[in-house]
Amino acid sequence: MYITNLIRVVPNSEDIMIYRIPKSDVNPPLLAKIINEYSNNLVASALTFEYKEELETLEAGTYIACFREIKYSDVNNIREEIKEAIIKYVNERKPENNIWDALINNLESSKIKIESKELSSTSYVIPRLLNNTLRRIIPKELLCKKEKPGEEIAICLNVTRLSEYYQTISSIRNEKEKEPLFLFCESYPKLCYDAQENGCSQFFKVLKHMALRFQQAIDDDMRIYLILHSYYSRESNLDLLKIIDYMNSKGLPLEFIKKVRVNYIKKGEYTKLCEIESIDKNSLELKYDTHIEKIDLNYLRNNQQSQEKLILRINPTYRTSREFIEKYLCKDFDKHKELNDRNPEKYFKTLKNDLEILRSIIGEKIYLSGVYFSIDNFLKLES
Amino acid sequence: MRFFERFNIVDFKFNFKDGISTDAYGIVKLGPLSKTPLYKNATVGVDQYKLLLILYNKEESKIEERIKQFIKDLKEGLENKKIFPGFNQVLGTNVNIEALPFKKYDPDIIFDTFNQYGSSSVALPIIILPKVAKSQYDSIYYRTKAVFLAKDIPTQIVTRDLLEDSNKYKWSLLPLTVQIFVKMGGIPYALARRFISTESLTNTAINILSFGLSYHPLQEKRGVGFITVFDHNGVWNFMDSVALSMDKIDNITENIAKLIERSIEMILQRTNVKNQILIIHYSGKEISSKEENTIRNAMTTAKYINKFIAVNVLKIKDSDIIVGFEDSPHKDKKSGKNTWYPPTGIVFRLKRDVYSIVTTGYFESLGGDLMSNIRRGLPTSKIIARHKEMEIQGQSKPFLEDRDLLASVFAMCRLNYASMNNPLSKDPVTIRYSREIAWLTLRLEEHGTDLNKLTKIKNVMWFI
Repeated sequence: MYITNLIRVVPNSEDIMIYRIPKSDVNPPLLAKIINEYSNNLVASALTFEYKEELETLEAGTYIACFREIKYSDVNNIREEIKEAIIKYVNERKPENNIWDALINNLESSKIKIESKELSSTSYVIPRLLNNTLRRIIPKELLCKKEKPGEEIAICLNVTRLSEYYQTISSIRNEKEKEPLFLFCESYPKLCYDAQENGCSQFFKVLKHMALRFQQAIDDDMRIYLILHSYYSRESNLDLLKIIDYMNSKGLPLEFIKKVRVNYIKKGEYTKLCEIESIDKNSLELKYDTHIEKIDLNYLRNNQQSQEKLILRINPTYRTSREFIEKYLCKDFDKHKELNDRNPEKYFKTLKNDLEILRSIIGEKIYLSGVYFSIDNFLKLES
Repeated sequence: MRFFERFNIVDFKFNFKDGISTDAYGIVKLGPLSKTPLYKNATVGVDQYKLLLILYNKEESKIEERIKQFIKDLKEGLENKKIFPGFNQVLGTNVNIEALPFKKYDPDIIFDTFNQYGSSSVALPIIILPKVAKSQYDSIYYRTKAVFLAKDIPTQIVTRDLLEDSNKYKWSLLPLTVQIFVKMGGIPYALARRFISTESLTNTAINILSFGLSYHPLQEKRGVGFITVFDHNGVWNFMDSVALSMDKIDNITENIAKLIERSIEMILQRTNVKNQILIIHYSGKEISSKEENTIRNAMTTAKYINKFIAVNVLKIKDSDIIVGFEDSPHKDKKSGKNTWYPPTGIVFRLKRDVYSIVTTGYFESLGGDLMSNIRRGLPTSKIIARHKEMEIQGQSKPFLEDRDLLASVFAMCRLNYASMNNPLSKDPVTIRYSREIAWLTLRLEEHGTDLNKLTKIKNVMWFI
């Protein structure tokens, strides 16, 4: 028998009522983004092209559903909520484009059509709407600061929080030995807990990273699966100013930071990679392919409160940076990689418990426009 | 999701000069398939080479001693001739092997050292460099390779660390020899039969064109599009590339279309077979949906595309689907416990046109021995999505079934000249070298090299 990290998701109804705004009326990706970020109760997914598959055809447009258990009396409630979301977006982002007044007017005057449609509750758009629902229902503090490319949603748990779940969830309470992070953190506590005086704790933290996304699959019928993949990652905070302060507090010469590679990050500009050419207590020089830029450290510090703040962050991909980190900040900063050396047998044993933790975060069932989607168990397949 | 197919390594045997074997090591007994490219108009070949010239930094400690041993091993082979019998002995060549020191790790100095020796057309440089991460764009590895490529010279890099690690070193000599042979223009081995199971297409040639698009790692506005072409036995044909302005959609569409048109012309020029099928493999790693639309437009509007009787398009990407096999016969060597590793080559169907194929796991050898191409960690799989909206079918019934198209990916995972110890790579050769090709092409373009004038490197797999 084959076991996969796909978890069957079972709706309690065959059909679901979804709203759609046709593509011609407004740019679907932008509208979906606004609804997902600024509406109170709605989630949306954009289809920029007609979707045509063996079992269904969906027209292009913005598909909208309600993720809270609210009963809307008619489509005008939806219209009103979208309008409010757009107003919030305009007030907050102040976009230069002048289409918004007209768009709000068109929503008010019903020039923009909102169709209600009964779709299969395993339709192609449903996993997309469920993904956006997850983003709304998972507490913000549990979401990873950075997702890996290609990941939809990722939950990051430090060892303390993970331990809390193991204590509170009865089905996994006695299975701590299946979670390798606990043993790891006994060996490398500085990489797991806050203890400000050492480099590992100040700059790194090893976390359990649970990436998840809903996905439709079609056998004889359409089905929805939740794909859950867990691994261990290292959260880094390698802000150069913080490192300079640390070096000073330890009496280490700033000279040691020479040749280290840093990312130059500024709002509205592409991230640039450069090398520290020279550094002293007052200033540093950044070497690019074509030129050298001098930066005053006082300016850099004062600039941190500004809207267009400049961030210089050590990029640990490069050899010189890694050598610097290992020598002066944290010798074991790459040790978490050992945690990911698990074969499938060990992986699935831990993943079973991860699913219990996930259930306690997102609930046994996810609600979407009148339908409850139950999170079942791992998919097993015969060969 | 359900089981669809299982491809077995033993069904994808290799053809050598004097016979067929499942194992790439068969080259030692059976000899390399061809010393010249199998496609016409290619002006390269192994026999034009008279010398392997090892270039090393004389400032490195104990290096002279190690180079002396390296030359001896290449010339005479190891004591255990089964592991490595010697360069000329494996390949049936007659090249001399010599060494020259350079003063420091500077690409121009290394090139000058090579150039002083004499005609570059008869010598292939083997350059000893320190080990660097392949993710470093500015590393000595890419910089040195680029300087030589700009002069139309492929190189073989050997790391200093490899020369110092006696165990790794001895097992690397044969793959190294094969890589050098490939860079000289030889074909060490290919698939013994076409990867398709369909019998009816006997008079039809199938070409696999891989397409990649990459950003410059440091400058977001610059990018490169590149193609490599193999035939239905996995025999190398040629490569080509084009520089792109990534902030201009029209520029991307126009240049990719030109690149594809050039490639189609080249494919058609190099063969006499009338009926041609094209399978496009492309990797979706760096491609956004906007760029994907651009590629789609370029592929479907490229001139001459209708010269093929069918064009199939497969997008290949890493999968986050993990497959464990509870009944796996594979056991952990240390603990003796079952690992749950799945068999390599097992394919699951996710939905119409979308499949997941396991590329690392266990497999059975021809003799029935249980082996694996993974030691630790999780098995890897690829998602393969057939993009029918980009395809061309000349008749109502498709020429190639999904099974054949999936086999094209598995077959290309078998062809792994750089690491012959591994019978199946986790990535097919069609997408495996994307970064090397992209970064080196970008470097050449940065230095003002006209890529179209480099005729030799278009015809050899210089990037492996």
